[in-house]
Amino acid sequence: MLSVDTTQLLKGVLDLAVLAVLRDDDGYGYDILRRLRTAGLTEIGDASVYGTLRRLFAAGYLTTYVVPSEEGPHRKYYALNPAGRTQLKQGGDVWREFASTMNTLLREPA
Amino acid sequence: MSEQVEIAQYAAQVGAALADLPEQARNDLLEDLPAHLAEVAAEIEAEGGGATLTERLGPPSAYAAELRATLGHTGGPSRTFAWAGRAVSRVRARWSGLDRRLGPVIGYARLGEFLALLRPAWWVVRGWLAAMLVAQLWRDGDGLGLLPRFEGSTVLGLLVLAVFVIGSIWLGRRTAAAPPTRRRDRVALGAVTAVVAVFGLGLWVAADDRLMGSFWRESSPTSWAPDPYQQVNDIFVLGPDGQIIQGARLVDQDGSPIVLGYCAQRFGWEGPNGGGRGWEWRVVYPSCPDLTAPQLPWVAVSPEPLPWQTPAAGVPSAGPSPSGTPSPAVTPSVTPSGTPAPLPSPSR
Repeated sequence: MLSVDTTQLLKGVLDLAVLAVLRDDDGYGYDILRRLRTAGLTEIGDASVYGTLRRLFAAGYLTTYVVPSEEGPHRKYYALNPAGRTQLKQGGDVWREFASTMNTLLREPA
Repeated sequence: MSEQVEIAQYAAQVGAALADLPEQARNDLLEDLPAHLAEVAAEIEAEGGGATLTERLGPPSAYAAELRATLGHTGGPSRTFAWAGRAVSRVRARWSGLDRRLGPVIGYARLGEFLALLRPAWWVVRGWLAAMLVAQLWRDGDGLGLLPRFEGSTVLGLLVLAVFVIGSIWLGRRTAAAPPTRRRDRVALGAVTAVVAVFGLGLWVAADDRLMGSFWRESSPTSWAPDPYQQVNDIFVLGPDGQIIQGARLVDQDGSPIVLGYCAQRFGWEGPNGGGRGWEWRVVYPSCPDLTAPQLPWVAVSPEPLPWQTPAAGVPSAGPSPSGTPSPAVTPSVTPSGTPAPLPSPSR
């Protein structure tokens, strides 16, 4: 049976989404989750974002730094490095082409 | 339940649910989890508090499943892979226990500590085994000593041995300081080590076998009985007439040549065109060029007439002409039941 929901679609592009919200501002884990949800990916889970951040970091697309906090825990910020920016650009191109193909395919007959 | 304890418990449960992952991947995932959970807890606090991590994030097992899904986009490792991972961690846990328990027996905190001291010794042994292996491959594997030999030369063997041992020590020091970073190199090194180790085991078994003597007992069960042909230097084939047949060949029931005697074997090996079965067919008896024929006083006493001899042809015997009356050809060889022609003993 064909069953498509946002969670499933998201799996393939989560990397790209996380890279995208880090393009302009560095962020810490919970902050990144909030940005994604604010942008409309409301079904995204905390573990997905955290795991993706760890994996992108391990793959060498992100750098991290710790910001001490007056109240509450220290926060680990993630930032795009040049490899991450390249990845974001390439991934964006692939996505746009893919999305336009899908749009053409799915266009309702007039 | 304090916040710290809650975070630690939650992280530990997530880690336990990911126990089957490769250690590297798991560490990458879990490294920052407590810090991240602290952020989440801080958010909960900022929003008014009251909720637990489980209420906010779901049960640790679900969190772990979601984390696992982010590893690739495949939705987690295959069952076989998971099983292998669990098996590896079980073996590791057991080894760790043995490590700590057996260490004190020999006066070390851990057995591994002592084994680490033995590493240079292994490097030397590895070099020796590699040299032995190369020497063994070099010469079709007949004979097995404890030193590598090339073309029968011990000096050359020792030189090669020195090169291999030094090379192995160099490699050992290098890999101990910094293990090869490329996976391909690590796999290659592991494969070579495995081959050398298996060869070493085989060498050890073979050497033990020979020192115990079982090699000879097994390969030649009659070796304790004296070889009846040990004293044979040459073979003289006599015809029915008692004369030595020159250039005779011996074959067994299968038609295969029989090579007996010192000369046949030695000259056979040194014969033209080298080894193989060919030289066996060139062996004729008697095969020693300088060996005098034996004195055989009994042979000529009553030699049978040759089957192909026709007395009518006027050849009474192959022997020297008899001094007495020639045997009358009353009964030709077709009726050997009659009295054989009495031949006087030929002078030898």
